[in-house]
Amino acid sequence: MPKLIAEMIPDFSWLKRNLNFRQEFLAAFIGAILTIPQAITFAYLAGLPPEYGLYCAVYTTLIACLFGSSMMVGGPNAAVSMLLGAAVLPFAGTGSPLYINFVLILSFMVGIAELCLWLSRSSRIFQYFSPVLINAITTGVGVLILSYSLDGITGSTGIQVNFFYEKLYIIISGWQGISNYYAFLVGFSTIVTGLIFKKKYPRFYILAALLIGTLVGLLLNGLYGIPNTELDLLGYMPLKMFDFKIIMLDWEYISIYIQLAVSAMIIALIAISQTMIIINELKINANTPIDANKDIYAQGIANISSVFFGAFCGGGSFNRTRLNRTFGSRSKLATILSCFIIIFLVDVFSEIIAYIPMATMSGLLFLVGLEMIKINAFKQALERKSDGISFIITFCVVILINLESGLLIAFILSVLTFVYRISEINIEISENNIDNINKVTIHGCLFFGTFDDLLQIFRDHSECKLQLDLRDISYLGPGPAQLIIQEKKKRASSNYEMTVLPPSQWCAGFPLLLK
Amino acid sequence: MRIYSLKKLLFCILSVLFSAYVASEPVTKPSIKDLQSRSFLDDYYSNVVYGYHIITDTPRYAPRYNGGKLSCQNCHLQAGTMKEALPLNVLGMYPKWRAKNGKHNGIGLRIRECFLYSMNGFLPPENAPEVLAIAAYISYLSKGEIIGVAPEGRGVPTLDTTGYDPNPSRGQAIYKAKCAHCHGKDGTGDLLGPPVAGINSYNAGAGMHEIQISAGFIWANMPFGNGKTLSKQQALDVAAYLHIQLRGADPREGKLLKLLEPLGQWLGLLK
Repeated sequence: MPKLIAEMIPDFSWLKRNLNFRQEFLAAFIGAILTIPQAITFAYLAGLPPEYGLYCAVYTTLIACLFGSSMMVGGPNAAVSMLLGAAVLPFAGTGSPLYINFVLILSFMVGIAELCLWLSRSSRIFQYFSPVLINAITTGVGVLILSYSLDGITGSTGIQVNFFYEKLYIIISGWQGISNYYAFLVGFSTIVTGLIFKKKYPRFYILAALLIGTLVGLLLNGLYGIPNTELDLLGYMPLKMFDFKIIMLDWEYISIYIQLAVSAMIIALIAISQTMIIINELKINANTPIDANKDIYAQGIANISSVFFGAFCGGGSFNRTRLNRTFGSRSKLATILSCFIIIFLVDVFSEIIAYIPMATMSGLLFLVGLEMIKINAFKQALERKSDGISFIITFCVVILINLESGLLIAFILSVLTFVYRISEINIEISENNIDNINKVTIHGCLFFGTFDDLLQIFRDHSECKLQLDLRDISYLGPGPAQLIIQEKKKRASSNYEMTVLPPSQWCAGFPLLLK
Repeated sequence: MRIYSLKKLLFCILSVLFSAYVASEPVTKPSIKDLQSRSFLDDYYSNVVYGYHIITDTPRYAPRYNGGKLSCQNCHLQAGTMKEALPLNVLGMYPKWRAKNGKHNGIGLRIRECFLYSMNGFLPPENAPEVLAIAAYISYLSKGEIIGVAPEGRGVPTLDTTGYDPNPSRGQAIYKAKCAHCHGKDGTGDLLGPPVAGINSYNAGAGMHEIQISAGFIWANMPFGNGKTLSKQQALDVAAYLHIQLRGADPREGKLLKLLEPLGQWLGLLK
């Protein structure tokens, strides 16, 4: 119990360390500039008006940072935003006040689900997710984000499809009717700029893509006029940063709330699994102890409390965490400062931000999706057959069915491949043709899963005397023990007898059966 | 053959009688007050109420694409229900060809262009929730109207020629006498009246900028509550005075002069 309370209290130990204020402020400033387009893009991904992304980038990050133990930065997360949008879409029109209400209620439920995960000390469960499959899920989410961004880039109104390849078909077959060529030019220039800058200056490629896209949009609007280009612009963001928002709950919508609760559990699982990955990355080069449970608590409490400021739920943000580290931040001060800098910057530049074309936002989303497709991880996974197959299966399930099933399949496959790998036994065979004795040494576990391997050994060496060396096995189950006893009896009557070197005293299971 | 055509004839007569009966029934629809008091609204009526809120208080409910301080209700008086004050029960007239953009306009494009010109804002996308809500509200108001037939009191009355040109200096005198106490000395609005000049008002591409339309509106409805007290020449004069006031540029010709509006405001050149 005192451990729980210790995890609930925010941790201010970073204040006592020596802080390089200049470095932290620099990291905060650059982080703020790079976070603003990312936040707006993820709000667009969730189907919300853009200012909600900024609320999330400020409040969820601030509270998660204050209560967390590591330097992990929470905030808008691509997979979580996409799941939010997909969960609420059947119940309300995108962007309407009812939709926003449902998203905020769902975010609150996600926070509660994360707190339940914290109370049940389930950070261990996430260690059983194989990183190969998390990469597969991330790649699948990247492809889905790419497909989502396509309708903004071609300038057509939102195309609602059930499968991502339907959208490709609609766009390719009917592009003359549905495209806005000006929007396509803006989106194309954004993506090309992003790709070029990714090679040369990888730290600033999102900002460069945003600037070039906006300039191209301004140029086109200036040459041809807004009524002719019909470019969708971002518009004025009515930022109500310091308003306390009251969420309306209605008994009439109770069935919708129950369905949202189911989605909330799945979103919480995905958010926490991404948090765990970032924490594992941070543990490698951390100079303070990281408590994974405390970070789960921080995420939960951040999601619950920031809902009242209008922020939707966030997860761990890879980009921002890496950014902080790259720019030399050594403590949480950079993150906290960047939240305030975001408020200041958006207030000052609100008139200019209004002119950003939505095609540019879609282009940025395309770049984010491209970054999430991890080809290197796929090539690495192909080196082992089991990893490669599970990667492909998870990826296909995420794209073709949905993300929740993908997560379930990933978990099952993680556990199964782990069991499969653990159950491989190593066999050393040394043949002695003079005396016709073959010595077989077994390393590993002999349990019901390795029954067949044991039978195979006996069959392979049925024409000679066999010496079975079991000193190095770590577990002996009753089934294989029975098999060995029977085989010994069978061979004793024939010419090919079998001797067994019994397992050592450290062997688990039933080694005494072989006495 | 005869029996076949007799059946057809009977069917036609019966259907005409039925539709005449249906058309003569009074159209029942829940009032907005009634809708607002309901605890649960389905998808259509929640959009109707949202559209009503946007029309009555646009800067608060549709700030994303709205440029100035005007609400739709400032011209489409009484939330679009007043005759001869641009009433909104006109869904039956759309889609139609409009000379303004040379396209076949649906109600969605018409609403979007209203944001671009009359509200001095941005062109919303086709699936913007604000546009869909206003379209729902317009369809709610138009329930019972006959498709293709202009409803009674549509738009503003067209003033016939008075024989004299509109005179802006006379218009200025009339404005100072009768309009300034609501609309402000320089037309940029006051507590009682919306802005009719400056960048917070409609821009030069709006319908209200045309003297013909604004004169008809002013003659029929202004001063607010005392419509038709001005003579037609006086209305034309005031309309001409408002036409020459400084306001946002026409987006078709202004080519992004809108970007300089905040700068002009900061320098004190625009209000």
